[in-house]
Amino acid sequence: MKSVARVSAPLAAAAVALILLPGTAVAAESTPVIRAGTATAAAYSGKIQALSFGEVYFSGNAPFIGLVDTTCQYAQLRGGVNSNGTGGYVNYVQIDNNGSGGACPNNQGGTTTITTVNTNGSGTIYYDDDHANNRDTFLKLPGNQPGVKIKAVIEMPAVTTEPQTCYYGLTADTPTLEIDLYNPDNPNRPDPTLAQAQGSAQGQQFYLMPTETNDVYCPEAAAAFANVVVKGESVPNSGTYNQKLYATKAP
Amino acid sequence: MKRAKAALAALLMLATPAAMASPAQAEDIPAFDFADCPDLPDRADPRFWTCNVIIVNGGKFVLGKFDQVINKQMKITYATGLDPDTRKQVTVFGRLRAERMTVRKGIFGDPILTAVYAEPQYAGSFDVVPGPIWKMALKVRIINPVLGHNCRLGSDRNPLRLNLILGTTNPPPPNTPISGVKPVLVSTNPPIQKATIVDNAFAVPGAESCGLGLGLLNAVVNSQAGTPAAAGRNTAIFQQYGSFKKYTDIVP
Repeated sequence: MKSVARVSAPLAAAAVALILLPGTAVAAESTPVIRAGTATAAAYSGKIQALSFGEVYFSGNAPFIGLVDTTCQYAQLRGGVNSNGTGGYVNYVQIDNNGSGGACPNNQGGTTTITTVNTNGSGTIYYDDDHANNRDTFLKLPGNQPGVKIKAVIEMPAVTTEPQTCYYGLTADTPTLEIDLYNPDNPNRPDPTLAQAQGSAQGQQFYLMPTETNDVYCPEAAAAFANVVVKGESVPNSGTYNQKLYATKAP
Repeated sequence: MKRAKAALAALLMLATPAAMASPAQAEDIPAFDFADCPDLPDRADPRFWTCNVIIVNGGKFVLGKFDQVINKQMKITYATGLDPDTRKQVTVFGRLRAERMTVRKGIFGDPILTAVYAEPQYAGSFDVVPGPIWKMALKVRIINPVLGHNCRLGSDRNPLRLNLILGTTNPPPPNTPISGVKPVLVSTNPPIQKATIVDNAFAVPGAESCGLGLGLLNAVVNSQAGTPAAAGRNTAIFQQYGSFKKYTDIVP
């Protein structure tokens, strides 16, 4: 999705965005109906998983050296939502290089290890009447959610021998974030060969937390780039995410 | 005639090792200001930008036979940023401020006529790329009354192209590899680091516009300075302190 300029969100907030399906837009928001698979299927309220496909990037600007660009191969986020888009939450975030905790390489000759410290963020999904960015729905995440905290340990051996520990979250001055969401049959979804609901973050921003002790080279803000497949549970609380999801506008 | 001969004699001394003022003291941390921070590009998000100031206060500059200890400060101000929509880095140059350095004191005790000075100048391009590598185009103004106001080694059109690194170089011979020194924080508030960046694989163009602005003395300068000098015969060692400021602390 096209990021909203000057909008920030922590990684977990972006995760919440990626796993919550329908929503209402700022300028043309409507209430959605999240459904179990098709435009006429029953409403779905329950747990949701967003699983990345392709590479996941986190990019920031560090003092003196410029771009610090981290590339991960795996991101999984889990949470839940009501069928009308309300009550969205995320309670699990995993971002690494292989699904098993490996650190992600960065462009400064080292690796970045991303750890979720707290995931207590929330948001709402809206249906977009105007279909900005060709989306069907979008997740809106308000800023100032101190319950979200992501730790990134950035190694830049070409610059410094000291790994840089940085904490990112939804800070007090973080503006509202939007993330685009697409139905399984939207021709503009990130991967048109996948007939599943998808989400996209393209430059979603999250900010360094001033309430934490951050090292000198920590980028003040980081932009996230990821595409995900979004699914629900066909059997509630089974832990198996195999339910196709679809969003329509509420009547 | 006597004046020209004296000046020429000064030029002939160019190549001899400079008995120069001593380098800056080791832990003399300079004062930083951010007055030269460039304006951000249109629509840039200040959270993705920093203004960086490097003050070079030691090291050396070997350009052909011209072996200059850096005994005056050079202040380099530049901004680095990121377009959060495209993941592309952007570098915006602010300013290079450098004092003239005495290459050769007046051989007759005359600080004007027979002394020769060198002054590094920005030559139109600067970038920081992952590595990191500081890519800087420079020219060096050679100052002496006989040489005129525009005598330089290099120009905007044909500059010295430095690729300064913290790591180890891989120069062509006769130069051998040299290494920089990774940053060490000497202050956290304000943030100040100390480091050394190096390059000894760059070429130095010949002299231009020396002698009444017509280049009449280009050949003399080149002869004495050993320029143009191919890559492998020149060295830049910048011992420096650096500080930065976030643009969120600069832009209201």
